[in-house]
Amino acid sequence: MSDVRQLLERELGAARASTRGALPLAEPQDEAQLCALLRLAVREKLRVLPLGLGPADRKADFALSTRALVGVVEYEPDEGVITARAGTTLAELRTLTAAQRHWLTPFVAREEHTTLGGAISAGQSGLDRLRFGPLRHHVLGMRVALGDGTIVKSGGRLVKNVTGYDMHRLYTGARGSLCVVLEASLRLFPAPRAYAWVQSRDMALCERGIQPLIQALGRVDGGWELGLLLGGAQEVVAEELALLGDARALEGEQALAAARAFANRHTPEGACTHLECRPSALHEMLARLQGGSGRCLVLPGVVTAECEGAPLVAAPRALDRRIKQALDPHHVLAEAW
Amino acid sequence: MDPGLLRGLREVLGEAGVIERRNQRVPYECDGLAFVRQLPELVLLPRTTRETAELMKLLDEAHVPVVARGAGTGLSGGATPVAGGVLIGTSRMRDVLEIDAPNRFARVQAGVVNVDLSHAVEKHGLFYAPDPSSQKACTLGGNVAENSGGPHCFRHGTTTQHVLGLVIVTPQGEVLDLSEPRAEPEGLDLVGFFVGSEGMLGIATEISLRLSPAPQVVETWLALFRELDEACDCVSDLIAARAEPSAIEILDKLTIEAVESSVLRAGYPREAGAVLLLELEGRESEVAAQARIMEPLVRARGAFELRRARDPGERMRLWAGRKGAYGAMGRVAPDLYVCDAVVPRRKLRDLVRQTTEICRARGLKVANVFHAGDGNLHPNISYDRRDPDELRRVLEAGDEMLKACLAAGGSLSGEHGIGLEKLGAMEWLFTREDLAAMCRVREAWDPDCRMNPGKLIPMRACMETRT
Repeated sequence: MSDVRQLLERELGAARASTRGALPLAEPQDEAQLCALLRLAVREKLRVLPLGLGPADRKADFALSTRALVGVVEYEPDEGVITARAGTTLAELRTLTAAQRHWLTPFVAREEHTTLGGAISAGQSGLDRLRFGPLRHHVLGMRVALGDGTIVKSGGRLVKNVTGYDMHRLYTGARGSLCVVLEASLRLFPAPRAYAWVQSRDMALCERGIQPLIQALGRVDGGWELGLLLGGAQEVVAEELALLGDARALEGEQALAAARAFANRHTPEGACTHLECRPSALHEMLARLQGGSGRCLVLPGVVTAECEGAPLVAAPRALDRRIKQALDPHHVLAEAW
Repeated sequence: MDPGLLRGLREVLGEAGVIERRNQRVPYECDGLAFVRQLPELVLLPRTTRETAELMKLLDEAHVPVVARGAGTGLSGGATPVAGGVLIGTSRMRDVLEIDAPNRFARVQAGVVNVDLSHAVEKHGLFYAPDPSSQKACTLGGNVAENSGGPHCFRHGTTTQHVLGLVIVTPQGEVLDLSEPRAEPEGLDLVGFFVGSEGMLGIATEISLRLSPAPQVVETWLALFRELDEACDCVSDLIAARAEPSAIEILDKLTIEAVESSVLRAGYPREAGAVLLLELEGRESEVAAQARIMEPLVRARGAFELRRARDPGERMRLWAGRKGAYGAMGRVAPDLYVCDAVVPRRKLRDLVRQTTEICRARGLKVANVFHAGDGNLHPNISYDRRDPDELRRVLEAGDEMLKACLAAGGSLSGEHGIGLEKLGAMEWLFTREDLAAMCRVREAWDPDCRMNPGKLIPMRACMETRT
């Protein structure tokens, strides 16, 4: 057993220390334990990789999962904002908010294995980004632990707020390199009253003037399949279906289930490459990716493709390094890039 | 100002770009926070990113503090000059650089006026969504600095959701080109962090902005209430019912009177105690569905009239009246203190009552015209800044209103920013550690804190990060 694993066991008890992949894994049960672990890392000069339920895919001395920090901190359905602890899964949040007629964005694959903190740290946008935009637009505020165990907050639980710097914008997508997310507030949207799911090989369906909730392409043998989730008032959905011609559709809960299955089928699970493309260059991009193997998900503006080995990543800018240094001067948290 | 530095700046900008004469600097001594004034040592008006970078290099070498300014319409003192510092204005950077209609974005210089962008892209069936009340004057660069809002941000989101890329000139005079419109940031989200940073990290000289397709149908509705309370409750009901208008605004009686007595007379009925201004947009079926959700809710809260603007002319007048309300208040008193706070939307009535009471108790005249759907209050106090006691009471009422909003789970600013105005209040909301983290990131961009010093983060918090 490694020295680090023993240190973690001493700190948390044997039940809370295990391994994930090649790394010892600590699962603190509350914020106090989590911050104590970070202070331990400062003292022992250890490098920490924060994560939720995902793989330990970067170098560090140990992984720190926020999985055990679960629960909703505040959800007033009539406000349209939910605040939850980092380890809560998106599936739990979706069930809770759907019951109150809210739509939770991002809509991602395998939500029962995706924590709120993990999705935010990964900057993971959903299949619903055509309608709602990227996740980072809807993170309203956060509480986080910095590398030295100091807890700080930014933003709030309000749909509109320009008080102080949007520190949470830096943390979103920083892959745990600036802080460990403890709790976050998300803006919710009214859930459509009706849904319809259309799946087709006909890419031209995107150009019929509809405004779907989800528009995504997944790579299949010899081409692409298009998934469209329509959502809105009953007559709006009916009208959009008519615009799509005689497309066969699933409706209501079945439509949502089909959208989930589509997301799970096409979202890469392992190492993947992210590509971007302007709408005008989409056809060219699709032609280039068509012959490849492995899963490939195309969302408006962003393509995620499974790749072999480690994905290519750009070297960090000098300013990114200075920001990292400013927030984590002891270099406790694993580098993101 | 050092003669060598002046000579260098003139070489970069030419004579027209360097304003030295005192009487020509006076217009720059304040922004919309008019009771705080400071004459800048020098006003510089670059035309390009390159010129901005060169002059920033010179100012960096000379250790001169810098404040950037768009149109000076900001309301929190974000563009108030600092003693001994220069002011960099973007008024000569007014070019729309690129319109890419198929990809729905535009690239503009920072000094382009907000509404001019929408006009420039209209022929493509597109528009730029964030619409601050000052949109006929305010610049997109200023909008970026303050993360500006506006009525239609209820549906479309504030400035930050529309900024796809930036060219930033750093305090050291380097050009950080992040202008390629990106769906997801590469590395840290520097663009997202910059928006709303109140001019303290650098100067954005070029902005890539998302354009939205113009909706097929737009309908503007007026709901008239006897009482402001009823209008507030109606908004909370609309939010609770998951209604999705594109704008939900409230104007109270005093505001209606001011607007209707001005040249902006829009046809707001003077007999109403409050008007709820709603806009619905989308496809016809969508708008019809929205109207069906809205109507019974509005009637149930006691609206004595609900009607739709008859034609585009009436729509335009209603909005011109709403957006010109601040100017119209000039009839009531020489000065207007536009407060800005944000509260949970289910508590609108309580907070509007409390803020009104706080003003009344101090003998102040308050009018409410605000972005109700976002919980963004604007209690506007009419006053005369030449009366020192009245000004004192105005500021005291401002503080008390903010405290009431914080106590209800609200925040200090929905769209005007902190600037100088609410600097002290930051410590009511944030801990020393919260502020120190902000300060450290600021120093990663601007180690000497020369960009817009003394704004947003109380000095004390910054001092502590250095010890």
